Amino acid sequence: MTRGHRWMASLSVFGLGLAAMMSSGAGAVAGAGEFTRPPYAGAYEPQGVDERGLWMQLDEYERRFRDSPAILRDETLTAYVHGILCRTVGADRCGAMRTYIVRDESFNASMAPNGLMVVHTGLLARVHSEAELAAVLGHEFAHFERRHSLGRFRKGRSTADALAWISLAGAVSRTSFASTGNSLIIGFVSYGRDQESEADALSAQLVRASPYRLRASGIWKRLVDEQDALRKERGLRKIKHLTPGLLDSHPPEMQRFAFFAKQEGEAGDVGEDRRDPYKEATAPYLRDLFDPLIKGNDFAGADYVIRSRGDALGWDAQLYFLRGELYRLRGNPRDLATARGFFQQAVVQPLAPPETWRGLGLCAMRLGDRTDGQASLAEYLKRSPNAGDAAAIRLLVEN
Amino acid sequence: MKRNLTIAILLAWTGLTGPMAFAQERGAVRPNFSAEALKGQKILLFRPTIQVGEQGTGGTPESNADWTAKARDLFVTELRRRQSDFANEIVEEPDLVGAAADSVAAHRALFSAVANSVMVYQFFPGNRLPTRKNKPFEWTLGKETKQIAELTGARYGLFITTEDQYGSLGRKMFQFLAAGLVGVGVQSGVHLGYAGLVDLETGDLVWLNADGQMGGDVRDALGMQKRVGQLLEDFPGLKPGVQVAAAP
Repeated sequence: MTRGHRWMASLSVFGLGLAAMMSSGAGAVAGAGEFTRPPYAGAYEPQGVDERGLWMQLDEYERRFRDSPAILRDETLTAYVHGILCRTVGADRCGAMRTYIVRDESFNASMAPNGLMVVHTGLLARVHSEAELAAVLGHEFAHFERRHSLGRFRKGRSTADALAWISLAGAVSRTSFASTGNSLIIGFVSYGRDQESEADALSAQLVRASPYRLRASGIWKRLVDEQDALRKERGLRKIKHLTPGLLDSHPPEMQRFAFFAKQEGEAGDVGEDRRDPYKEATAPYLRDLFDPLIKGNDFAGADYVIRSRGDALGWDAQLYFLRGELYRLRGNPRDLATARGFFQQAVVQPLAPPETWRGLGLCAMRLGDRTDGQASLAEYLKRSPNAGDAAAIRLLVEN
Repeated sequence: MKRNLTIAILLAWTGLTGPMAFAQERGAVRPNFSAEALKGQKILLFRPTIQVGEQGTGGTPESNADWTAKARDLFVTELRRRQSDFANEIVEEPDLVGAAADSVAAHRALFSAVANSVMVYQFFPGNRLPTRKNKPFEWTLGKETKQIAELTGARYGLFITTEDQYGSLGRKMFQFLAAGLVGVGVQSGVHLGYAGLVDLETGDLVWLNADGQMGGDVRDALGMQKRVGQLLEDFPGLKPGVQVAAAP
């Protein structure tokens, strides 16, 4: 098996609450410094044994990955997301990138050293404007431009080599070098975290130089709120997100929030947000973007994400329908009553999906309102006569 | 006690309890499948998975693009050279797009999963799942492989995987010192490979050969002859009397 994905740098490890929540001193977010971009010099070819080996692995990985059923294959949406990358980093530099949208409920995107960029549907569900997405894509592009995977590979190798030698020395001298070993491992992890901070810093520069307004802090704030909502539901203690844990792969959300908030203050209100174009472009795909979330097991998180999009960009039939489905699928009697309310709000809006009437009917029947339920189900069958579940629904209508 | 602990740490850190307990058995042919069934049938060779590189001192695999490209060329050349050994025509996987590409990609992934299950749960008798105990070699990818048969006109599909990491100088020194100083066996180098044949009409896996310790340096022609010979050991489609593992 190709072990390509191991070398993909990603945006976040959302929800990976590692136990080791020890402070490692001041954050290194601003430590990346100014980075002067070299002029664009055409297609980049990997240099040297390590980098060529890495690219070869990823090229081989991509040959298989591009035909994976996990990819949401839609030319319009993919071209739209790729276009935002191009506006952010410049048309010349984005030319070599390949953008793939993958069905995955998590808030993430990743970049391979050879320019393969993966954007999760869960990310598109959570951002509210082109400007916000630009900051994320800029971060991923920064990983590529700064050749972070190669650095991480080399750091990993030298760490493993040093570990091997000191553990051998420990075995020979009958001394435990475990603490030295631990610091090596922690050093490797914090190296990766510094790369993430550098990518954030470069992303801020890229967006400020692009037609977009720098608006990234909101994403991180909402991510914390989402996590809080989920932890509250589960009766867990809130995480502070202020200082990184020793083994955290990324800077904590609040640190990233603070970094971008400061940058946004400096940049001011120049540039475009493009919220409405984002809303319009993603509206036809809401089912694809939210389905993995709705079918996941994080009820409060999914509900938060749907609400935050609705509150920011406005509620339409699709969003009401999706929220109704979230409640209907959990299926407690009280959920059915709530779901019915959302479906009722959906059907009065233009362009409600046919499944809204199915949800409305099923909830009504289960709540004991047979006449109403059968009427809604009949409406569903009228609107979607060839649905996969038409035969089963017909049984309910006729009996 | 302390020494044992440090050795345990050494093993854990360097990840070297050896490659996963590989197969006591190395190959199997589906019952009531015979070379007869292969006669005159076209075999589709899926793009082989070939990876060649070095193993760092601490065990990090380091892919080498040149070695891999060379091994890929040598492999194809060697297979062509052996074409006359087979009673079959071997065709290479065409470059597909759209639904056909999806189907091929899905089945390639499925084959990897099934082949891994065979290696872990069938070839190693002590590790057999209750549902696989005392069962004949009957594994399948399902009937959907028929699409590939129709697409390519091939009746059988051949999958080949090899992975080589040659021990770096540092690794060899580490191996030598670990053995000499504390008596710990550290493996230098990884050389594993497997090959499988699938009946595309039925989806059945008819032959699988796996080896965690393969011979032959895949970076030169002679070594590749030996490697391919080992990969195709017991291949049911070989003409009778052909000695495959003849090269040194």
